[in-house]
Formats: sequence, C-alpha cells, structure tokens
Amino acid sequence: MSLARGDVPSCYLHDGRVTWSLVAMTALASGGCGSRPSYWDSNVGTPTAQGLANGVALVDDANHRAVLLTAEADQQLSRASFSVGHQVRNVVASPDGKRLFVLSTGDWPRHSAGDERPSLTVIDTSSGATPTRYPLPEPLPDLAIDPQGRYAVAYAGAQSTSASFVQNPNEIVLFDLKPSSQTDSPNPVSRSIRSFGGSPSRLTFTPELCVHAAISCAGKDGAPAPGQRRLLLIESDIDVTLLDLDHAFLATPPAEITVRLTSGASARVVAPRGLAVDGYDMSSPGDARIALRTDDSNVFTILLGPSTGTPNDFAPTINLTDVGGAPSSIAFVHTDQGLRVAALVPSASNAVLVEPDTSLTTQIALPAPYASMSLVTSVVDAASTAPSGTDTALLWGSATGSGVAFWTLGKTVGQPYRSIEVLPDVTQPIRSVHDVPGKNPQLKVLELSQGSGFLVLDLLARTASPLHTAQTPTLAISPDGSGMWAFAPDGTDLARISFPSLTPLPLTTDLSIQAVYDVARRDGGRALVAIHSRGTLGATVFDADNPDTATARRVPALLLEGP
Amino acid sequence: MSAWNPRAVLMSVTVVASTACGSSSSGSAAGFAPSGGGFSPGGDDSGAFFGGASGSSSGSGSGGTGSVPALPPETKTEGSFQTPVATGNFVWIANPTSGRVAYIDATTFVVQTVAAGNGPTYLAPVPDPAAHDDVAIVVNVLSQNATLLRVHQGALSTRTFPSTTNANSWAVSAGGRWAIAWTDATRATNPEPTQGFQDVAVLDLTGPRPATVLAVGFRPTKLAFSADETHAYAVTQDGISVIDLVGGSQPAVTPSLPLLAPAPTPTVDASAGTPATGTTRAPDVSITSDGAYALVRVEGVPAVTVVSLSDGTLTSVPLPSAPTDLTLAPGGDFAIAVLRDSSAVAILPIPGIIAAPASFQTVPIPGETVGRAIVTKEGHSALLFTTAAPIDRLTVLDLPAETFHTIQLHAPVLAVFPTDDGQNAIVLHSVTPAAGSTVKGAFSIVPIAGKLPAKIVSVPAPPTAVALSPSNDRALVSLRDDSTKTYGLDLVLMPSLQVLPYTLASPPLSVGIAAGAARGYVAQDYAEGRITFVDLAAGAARTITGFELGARVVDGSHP
Repeated sequence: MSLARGDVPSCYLHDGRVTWSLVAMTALASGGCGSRPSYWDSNVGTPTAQGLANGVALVDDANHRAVLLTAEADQQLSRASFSVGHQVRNVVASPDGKRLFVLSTGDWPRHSAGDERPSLTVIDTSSGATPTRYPLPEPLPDLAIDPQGRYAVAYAGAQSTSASFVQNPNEIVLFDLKPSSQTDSPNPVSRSIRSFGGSPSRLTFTPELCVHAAISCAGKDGAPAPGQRRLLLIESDIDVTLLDLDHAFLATPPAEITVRLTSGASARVVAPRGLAVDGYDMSSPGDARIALRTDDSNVFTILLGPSTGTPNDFAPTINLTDVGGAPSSIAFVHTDQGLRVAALVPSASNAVLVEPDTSLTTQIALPAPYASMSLVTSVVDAASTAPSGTDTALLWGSATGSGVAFWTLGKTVGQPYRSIEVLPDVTQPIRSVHDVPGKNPQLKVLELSQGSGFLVLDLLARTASPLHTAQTPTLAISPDGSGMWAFAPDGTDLARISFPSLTPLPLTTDLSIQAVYDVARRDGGRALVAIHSRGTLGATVFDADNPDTATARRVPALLLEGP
Repeated sequence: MSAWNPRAVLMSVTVVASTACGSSSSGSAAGFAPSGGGFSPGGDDSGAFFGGASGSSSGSGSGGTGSVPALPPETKTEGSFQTPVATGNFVWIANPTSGRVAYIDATTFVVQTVAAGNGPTYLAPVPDPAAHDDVAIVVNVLSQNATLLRVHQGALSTRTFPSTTNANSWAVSAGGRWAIAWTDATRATNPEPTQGFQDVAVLDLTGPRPATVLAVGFRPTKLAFSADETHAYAVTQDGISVIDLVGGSQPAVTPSLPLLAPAPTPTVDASAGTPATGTTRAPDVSITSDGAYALVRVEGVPAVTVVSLSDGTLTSVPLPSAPTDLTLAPGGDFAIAVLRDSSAVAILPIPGIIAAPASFQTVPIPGETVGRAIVTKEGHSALLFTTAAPIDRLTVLDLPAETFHTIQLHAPVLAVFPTDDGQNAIVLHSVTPAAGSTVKGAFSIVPIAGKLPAKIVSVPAPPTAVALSPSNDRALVSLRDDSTKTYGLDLVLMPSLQVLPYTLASPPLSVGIAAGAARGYVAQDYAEGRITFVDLAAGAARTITGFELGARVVDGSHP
C-alpha cells in the first residue's frame, strides 16, 4: 500500500515501523492541524540515492532536503534531514564516503528576492556539523571532488546539458573545503579557463608534485614545501590545462597553463582521451610528469620544471612518442630499466613502454588486444618476500576473448619472453574490473562483457573463480572487503558472496531492488540497505555480517514525512 | 604533417669554413674547415675512393714500410660531420613545411617558434659582439628570401631580406655585419652542367647598405671575408671574385683575381707505366683568417700559389713534391703542405712566404705515410695522417719544435677532430663490417698531447657527426644505421676517455654543444621535430619532441 504525502499531517512522527492505521490517519487528517507548507501537496518525485560510508543519503529535490539514513542495531534505520539547495543537479559523495556534495542550480526563474541562487551544499556525515552552503555565480551541472578531500570543482562538462540559456563551459568554480576558520582567502573562486575552442570534459587532481627544482621540495615539520604543488588538470576536447590549485585562491592567482595538442599544421584536431600522473617521489625535483593519450597514435609526456618567472614558477616541456596506434590505456610504471609510460595499443595487439625523457620505446607483443590495465603491484609485492621494485599490471578488456593477463614489468626490457602471463581460467571478454578493498585486496571482481555471471580473481593464487547468476547482475563490493552483493536490477533476488570463501548466500526482498548499499552501522558491524523506489521510497535492511531474510526489516516511506 | 627538413638543421659548410677566415659562429663547437668537403663520409669532390689506385706518386715513404704505392688523393670528410646552429643558450631549427623556425632554450627547454618566410631551410648563426643577442639567419627557399632572427632580452624580432633562387649556404662575417647567401654546388642535387650558381645575395645586417644580389664566378666553392669586413671573397672556378662591401652606393663585384693554377701536368706511374689521371678538379683554396691571402693547391702540382687578395699578386711556391693537402693554421700565420710522396711536410710562414718563396721549412716524417694535416686551434701541433691508405697511425707534429711522435691506432683513419686545447682528438675510422658482426663502425679517443695509448670504441652503427665542447672535456659522436634502425649517441669524457652511450629514438641528423647551457644536443629526423639534450656534467638526457606543440603552450604571460 502506498501512501500519498498529503495523507500525513506534519505533526505526526514516524517511528520507522510499518504499522499504519488508515482510520487513524484519516481521522487525524480530517481533524487537521491548521495550514500547512506546500511541500505536503507535492509529490516525492525521483529522489537520488547516494551511498556513504555510514549510511545512505536520499536527496529529495522536491523538498530541498537530503535525508541521511543511518543503520542502527536490529536493522533499524534512523533518519536525519538536511537542507540543500533548490533544483538539485548533481549529487556526489567524497571518496572516503564521509561527505555528501549536492550541487543545485537554484530557483529559476526567480520571482522574489528569497528565491535561491545556485549553490553547493556540503554535508559532513561523520562530524554531524551543520552543512556548509557555498554560493555559485551561475548554475553549473558537474562536480569533481578531490580524492584528498581538500578541493571541489563545479563546472559545465562538455557532455552536460546546459543548465541555463547561455553557459560558459569554461567557467569553473573552485572550492577550498578546509574549515573556514583556516581559510582567509576568497572561497569559492570562479575562473574562466582560457579556451581555444574546447570545453572541459575531465578533471584530475594531482597528488603533491615537486614542480620547482630551484626551491626545496622537502617539507619541514609537516608543512608543505614551497616547491611542492597540487595541480588541477583539465582536459577539454582539444587541449589540457594545468591550474595551480595551491595558489588558486590568492587575490591574484597565477594564470593557468594551456598545453595545446594540435600543432596547427593540419586541420585534424587532436583530442585528449585520458592521462596519468607520476609524482612518485614528491621530494625529487624533475619528477613531476604527466602522460596523456589522445585519439591519435602519440603519447604525450609533459615534464614540469622551473620556468623563467611569472606568472607561474613552473613550466611544462612536451615530448611526443608515436606508439604505433591509438592507445587505449596508459600508466606510469616502474620497470627494471626505470620509469616508463606503459601504453596499450589494441589495434596492434601490443603494449609499448615509453621512456618519458628520451622517447625510446620498447614494444611488447600481447597475446590479445587488451584495452585496459590496472597496476596490482601493491598486492603482488606486498605478498612477496623480495619486492622487486617493479610493477605488475593486470590487463583485460580484449574484445576478442582471452580475458585477463598479468604483465610483469620487471622482466620486460631485454627479456620480453614470459613477461606476459595469460590466465587460462578466464576466456570470456571482461568489461570491467572492480577492486576489493579492506581485508581482501588480493581479490578482483571481473564483470563479463557478455552473458550473466562474474568472476572473482585471486591475484596471488592466479586463479579465477566463476560465479553464475540467473540473469545479468548488478554488483556491489563491501567497503570492508569481507564480501560482495549481487542483485537483479528491478528484481527481488539478492545474494551475498563472502570473501575469500566465495560462498553465495541467497536472499530475497519483497519489493524490487533498485540499489544496495553496504554501510557501517552506528553500533559497529555493517548493514545492507536495499532501496525500493516505490512510492516515497522504501528499504529493506539486512545484517551485512550475517544476512538472513528472517532478520531483515523492511522500512517503507522513507521520505514520507516533511523536511 | 609538418616535416622538420634534415637540411634545415645543418650548418652550412661555408660557415664552418669561414670560421677560419674571419667570421665566427658563437656558442657552438664548430666542426673543422673543410676544403670543398662533401656530404658523405668517404667522398669529396675529388671522387676518390678509399683504397683506389690513382693519382701521382713519386718519392718514397709509406706507413712504416719505406715505399709509397700509388695512392689516390686524400679525402676530407670532417666537414660532413658538421654541427647544427646554436647561439649561446639557444638551438635553432627550421621547419620548411610550416614556415617556422623553432628556437629552444637549452637550459629550460622552452620551445618558441617564429614565422620566417616560405620554406625556411638553411640556417646560420650570426655573431653579435656588440649586444650579445642570439641571432640567426635562415634562407627561405620557396619565397627566395632570408629572415634574420634576433632574440634581444627575451623578445624575438625578425627582418626579411632578399635572397637568391638556389641559395643553400651562408657566409657570415666575424663581426656579424654581413651575411652572404650563396649556392654551394656540391650540395645541389644533380646540377646541370650549365648551372653556374653564380648569384649571391649580399646582406648588410646592421648597417645601411642595401641588400644586393651579385654575380660571381662559376660555381663558387667558398666564401670568406676580410678581417675589416670591407671585402668578401668568393672562390670560384673562374678565380676569386672580390666583392667590395663598402665602396660605392652598394656592394659590388670588382675584377676577379685569377687563381692561376698551373696547367695539369701528367705524371707517369713508373710501376704501372700508365699515366696518372690528369686533374680537372677545382683547386683546393684556403683563405687566411684575416682575409689577406688565399693559398691554392692543385692536385698533382708540386707547388702552392699564394694570392694576395688585396692586390691580386700571385706568388708561386715550388715544393719538393705535389702536396696532397694544404692546411692553414687557425691563426693564419703559417700553412702546412703535406708532401705525401716525400713523407714530409712543408711549413710555409705567412706572409713571409710571399717575399721569400723558398723560406718554407721541410720537416721529414720518415717511416710514416701522411697525406693530410690538421693544425690544432692554438697552432702548437699538427695532426698528420692519411685517408688514402689503410694506415692506422696518427702522427703528431709539435710546433714550432718540429718534432713528432706517432700514435698507434687500430683502424684506418677517416676523419680527425682535435680539441681546441690540442690535448685530445676524436678519430673516426673507416670500418668494413664483417658479415654477421654487430660492429658497424669505430672511433678512437686519442690523447695527442701525452704519450698515452688511444682508446678505440666499437659502435653498432657508423658515426655520422661529431661535436666538441669548448671546454675541451666532452665530445659527442652520433651513430646511425638506417638498415638496422640503430640510432645512438656517445658522450666522450676527456681526459678519462670514458664513453657513455645513449640510444636515440630517431635517426640523428647532427650534434652540437650549447655551451651556455653546458649541454650537448643531437637533432633527429622526426616529423614533429625532435632534439635530445645531454647534460655534459651529469649525463642526463632529455628529449623534446613536437616543436610546434611546445611553442603553443600558453602560460598567460603573453596576451
């Protein structure tokens, strides 16, 4: 039974239990509690659910609120409501899952002075502090969050629909998320990035890079060294822009540096397709490198070094290397011959190692045209009694089969034979690879490109265990790495797979599942919150550590009450 | 795709030659003045081949054996291994396709480009002793003009001058006031017999004289300036054309000075009974650094002619035998004629030889076959060797003591490059690779001052270019083998004789030293432009690829 919002007076408190009396409600409604806010007459709409470390956030744009669901003991859910800006355009969680960012475009058209303007609301769910609301000069649809949690950037991505009649796609708004008491500079800062016709499409926050060889990059007493810098790399559809984040909030910030990728010798425009950043040794001058792949056969390497002066105290120098085909993936890797940029070239079914400073290349023939790679050194080396200091990469994404392979870079230069190990257990094409965090980092979950089921790969044992599903599942990995969840979208079937035993535990819900979130419980332990998008949203809460349908609790009407 | 023309990176032969004749190239370690040197190792305008049996022979003396077989003329290939254009801290590289010239700061690796004319190709540095600016000039072959490029306090300016149709070389005066664009026929591809390449463009770079196109004699081979920059001299097959730079309202050609090379004298090879080939070759002309005299040698003629460039006076200096090489000291105070057939050298004092043609000193080099001489920069020694026979020895003649010692090498000599301080030399060897061998070439590091053994270095590809640092402690040797795609660079450390090898990603075109940045560089053949810098102290290598892209980085410092 679904309940319309208008049936519930604002003075009634919901206790989280599914025990309603329609007669009681009607009596209360007919008795009335006086005039009521308009939100009681509006529909819930389509809330956005966002998983967090210790709960699930439901962003109720119709009522300009974010409702944070916190798992309690006995599969209870408590709710806390926070005000957010009007007209929510984007909702993003911080990488650590402790903060929720809600980007709003504000009321449009504005009919009164009280109508809201565009804003960013930041809700810190771990501290319980009052949410912070940052004003925006104009509505922007996209949001990028710094992995280190220091910065956020609102922008209008090239792929986004314009949020207003006229939009400057190169305008970005930078937010310094440090507590305001520690920040004495303007915040946020709006900038219009220099453009040669492109629009931002991807933003990357670099780690600390040593960009200035003439100034020390060794910090003292925990303070950042003058030569260290964090940059925001903005890829547009035709160039890359480097923006000094650490100086972006000055009264007169330095101009950004634009690296144009098209020489102008021909009409063909070179577009960036992804980048990798190397700041392996942040105390080493001359170690700040950026590798960029484009839609042509060149890999660009950009080395940051000292400049001759203003406006920036660092300058990029460019090196191009032809790798024989458009690379599908690049990464900085450490080989037995030193630092290289590894590029996968599926069209040639090979990988190319590029020495970034000299453009020397080493080609490695691959048994299949792998298109994706990820470094698994931290897992492989951690288990090794003699860490090699060189990287190991996992290759996948071949369209022609031959699922995954291990590429041991310590044996690459001078001895290509046996440096590639194909995992014979995996023959299906792999669409994506998911990391397992926490206590089982040696495992990877492989999603298949075709068919149902998935695989769990053990990097150390070099085994791949298939798990079959009745239909194509949606997967969710537990943040503590103790297991994973699989469910049928819009179905009621659910399963818990424990790591490392891989024992599946079948579960079910009464209502169709749209999403599941494995969250920490307030009293310790973990809970699985399965969201049902019927009516005012409901959830079924399981004990994630010992899931059992007998102990699961269904919580309906999560957004039924007012803000 | 833009193409960085290999030719665009090479310094003109004439600039290298004019280094010893009153002009200068600042900021780089120049090659050595060739005498009509060709492009490819082993070949010069004599058409001689290593190991061939032609030319005259007389007298005695050979490589330690006491007899002189019939040997071909010597080859001079040092000019083939020439350096690209560098001024101070900058390396200049032209892109004929895009019409732009890149100049790269060898210290910061910042690349900037500037628009020149249509098809900028042939670059040369221009000295600027007054303002110490970085200046270069480039011939734009398609628009048939020249662009002067000047970096003054970080700002680049350009100025356009007329040029000639086929200009492929530059001669620049020592003070940087004059530049002459001319055509070196030896660099032209398949020239017609009737192509004289006689047009030269005389450019006053800093003064008020109008740019003037003049006609000189047939197929000039060398241009030089007088020390006072009032005259220029073009060595042609019709004699020496004299260009008055400052007289009249504009530069003009004055009556030529004949070279008066003696008529070819057939000589008989007694062993074979066949006449040696007569010579129709252009004379080998060397001009003193002050532009006062020209010394002329004709293959097979036992004499040297000294031409006074001021008045055209000719002085013939008979020699005991036909010199196989004639080399001027860098200071211009003497010349060495190598008398291969006599196993001796004649030292001609300049200008004393004019007044007393017999006043030369003959120094016998018994037991050695020497056909070539190179005088070190300070004139304290001369390196004697032969490229006409498989002699693996190098003789060092101490001057003025006129004593000598011979250094044993381990392969025949192809070319020799002494350091400016006369302490060491890089010797390229002529190597015939054995079947299946990975060794395709070799060079030696030779301590010519001390009585120390030379160190030979086998390399996997033939050496293609050499550069020496002004500090005399570093040398760069580039290697190239297109058949095996082996491209490399060897950094030579002196006096330790260590060699650090580097692999290059692309075929090397030329090497040089940016002295101001203490870096060596090797320009490479790559469509987007590629150059590798090597830190001469630390040995670290950095490659810059994509000059146009590098120049298009916008940092907000300019609107």
